[in-house]
Amino acid sequence: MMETATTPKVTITRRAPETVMRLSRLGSFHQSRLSFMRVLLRRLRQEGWRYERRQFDIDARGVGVAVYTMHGPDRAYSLVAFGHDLPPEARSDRVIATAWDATFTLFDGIPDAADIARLGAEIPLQEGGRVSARELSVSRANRSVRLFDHVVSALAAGHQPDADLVARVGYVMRTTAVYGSGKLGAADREAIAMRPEFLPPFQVEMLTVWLIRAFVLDLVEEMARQRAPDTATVIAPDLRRQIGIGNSTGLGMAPFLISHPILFNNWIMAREEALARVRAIDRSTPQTQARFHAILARARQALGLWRSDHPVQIARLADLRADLDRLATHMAATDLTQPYPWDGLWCWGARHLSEEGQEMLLSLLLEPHGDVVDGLACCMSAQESDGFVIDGAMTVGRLRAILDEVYGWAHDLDWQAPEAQARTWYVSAAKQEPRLGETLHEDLGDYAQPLAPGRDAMRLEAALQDLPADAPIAGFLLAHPEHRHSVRRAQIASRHPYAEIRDNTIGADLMPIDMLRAKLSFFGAGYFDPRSDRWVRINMYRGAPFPHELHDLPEDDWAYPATEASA
Amino acid sequence: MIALSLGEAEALLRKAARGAGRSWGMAEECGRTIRWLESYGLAAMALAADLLAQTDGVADTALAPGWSAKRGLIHRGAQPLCPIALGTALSDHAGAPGATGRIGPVFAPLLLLPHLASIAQRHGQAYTLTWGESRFVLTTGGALGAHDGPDLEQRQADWVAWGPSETDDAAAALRPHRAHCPASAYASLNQLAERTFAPETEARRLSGAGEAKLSTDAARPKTEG
Repeated sequence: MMETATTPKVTITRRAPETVMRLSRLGSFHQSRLSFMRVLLRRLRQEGWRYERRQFDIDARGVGVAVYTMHGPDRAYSLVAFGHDLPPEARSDRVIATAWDATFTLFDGIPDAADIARLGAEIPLQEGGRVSARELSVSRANRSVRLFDHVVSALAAGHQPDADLVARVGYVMRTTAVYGSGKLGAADREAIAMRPEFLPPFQVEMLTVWLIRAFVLDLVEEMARQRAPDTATVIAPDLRRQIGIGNSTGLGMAPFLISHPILFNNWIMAREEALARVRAIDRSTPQTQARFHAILARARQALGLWRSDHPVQIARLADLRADLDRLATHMAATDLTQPYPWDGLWCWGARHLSEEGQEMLLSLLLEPHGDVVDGLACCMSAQESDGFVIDGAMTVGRLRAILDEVYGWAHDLDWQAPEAQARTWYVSAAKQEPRLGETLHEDLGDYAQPLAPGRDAMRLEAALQDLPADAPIAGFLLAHPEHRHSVRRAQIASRHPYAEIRDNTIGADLMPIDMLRAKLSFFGAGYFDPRSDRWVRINMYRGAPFPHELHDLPEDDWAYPATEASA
Repeated sequence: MIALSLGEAEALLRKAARGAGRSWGMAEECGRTIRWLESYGLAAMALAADLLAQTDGVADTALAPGWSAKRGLIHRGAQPLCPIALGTALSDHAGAPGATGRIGPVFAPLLLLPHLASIAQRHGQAYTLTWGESRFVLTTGGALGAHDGPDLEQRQADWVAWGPSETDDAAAALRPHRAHCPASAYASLNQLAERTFAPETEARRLSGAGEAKLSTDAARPKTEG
């Protein structure tokens, strides 16, 4: 940027990786304009995607088939939904692994009768079935014990569901898995990644969930209608919109952030660049000032809907409420017409707010500035294979310097202490899913997954100790293939500053939910409600428009509920 | 034949290679290698299953070439080289563009192709890889070029040779984004992969995924998303 003699220039840089990439901070992230749900709905609206409910053959028990299609400028995508009727004992608090209330796939195009027949034989089986390259995702959902029957009964009787109960639960069905990217035989991401609509990450999965939500709300209304055709009513649009899709996310998601370092870097980089851009704005406008005040008020309101029974999250929510109160008080005394008003606000927040509060402030600061931050969404995908090839000519000295820079935090840990390596990531034979074991109490040595980059980097550093600094690492790798994965990660991290979590991912104090929340916040999920240290319940698309009303409502204005007082 | 997404094929090979005793970094190389070849419709999965069966439990270093300051990469072991160990060593040691070389014997030489393709891309120099009657061009775009491979599925070659190629045109290859695996190879790869999964014990079942302290509504989560 050019400096002039007359304008004092504030130099804003992106936050340092040592600050951002700590687990506790990653576990404090909130959804933002750059979240993938919001990116998707902005695109669908801007490009005029047309919604069509092509088929809806569902009976009074919720059994049948439905097809929801979104028609874009060049292509169409269809959610094929299968409704099932589980006996009550199969729909208890525990998932019976072979049965769900509804199963789904996102089909590439518009399915014909033969496609639907084929999918009807495979999709209800989930992991037990196989799909083809015409399918982009496979998913399933279960009914909320608390809300589903209540909503159907209320509507059948001709009245609205209890608004308090709706607010407390927030969803009538929750997904328990959304598989994309080639899982179960579905299309590989590479096969569709060049389509503009799938350029940002996880757009297939986000589109799937958005259409599932539409199906679920249609489902409860249809069941009520068939149960009592004479009295049944539908949910009032405002209340309907307050119903999202629930989701329970467990450990399976956590290793993703470690096994996709370039992708994760690009997510964080976009978010940090967005913050830096907003902080670098030298003058606010009356519009951006008004928008910030309105969004802050709405965010405080939304906080009232965020509940958790987990002690850690209860404390953090109390901090966050106090933070937003403090921010509101501060705003009353803050003149946003001063130069660099957003940077001033950010710097105040860094001094006065908790990590939850700071990261919320980041999200709020992006809200009025779609024109400067939304374009960053296109930089958030990654070709992970670009970082795969190792530069064997790199010298041992240069590699040591990288290890120092990226894994400096790991030097401060006593890796011999039991608490430093208290946990071991492994994959269970029973579920073939990532699990976390107690290193001391379980004999997991050979089963350990490579999900402790910091510990492994320290082992690499020790192995390099006696080598001459000018030696190329190719020779070292030939003799020590056990360090190959660590050398690859270090080289990736040297080019991608936010690629590595700069914290211990196997320590006694690890909270895996921090990793889950970081990822889920980028999806656009909210209302994080940890159920233990390793799984978290969330809500997706709460407040969002439904497909039939996408073009009738304001663009991208749903993430914080609007009320009459604050809108 | 079992049809797999390329992601599934890569993941299976990574796990199977780890199960056969490869280091994690080498297992990652195995996954990538097979993904690249299968994306060109080259039948790599059966070859890889065979390779892993033949080298099951052998240390990475015993399957890799040695290094001589004078002669570069050399074969020094008692058995044929692993093509993936050789390919990564070639890639790691890739010096100036245009080098020629010859080494052997090598298991499943087809599995060397992606590594030479990667070198070709980085060097901006097309290469040929030959063994027996087979000849492959790897282009500066890192793609498969002209090829004539009667010995495509050869399980072992006495030697492989590489050198600069004058032609640099990518083959009009169909990139099907699908992998295909014979059922027997699929079964043996899965057997190897299963070695990486910890057997379930009661303690693990209870603790591993973190049973909820509170269970009001949500069931235990399945997995991602």
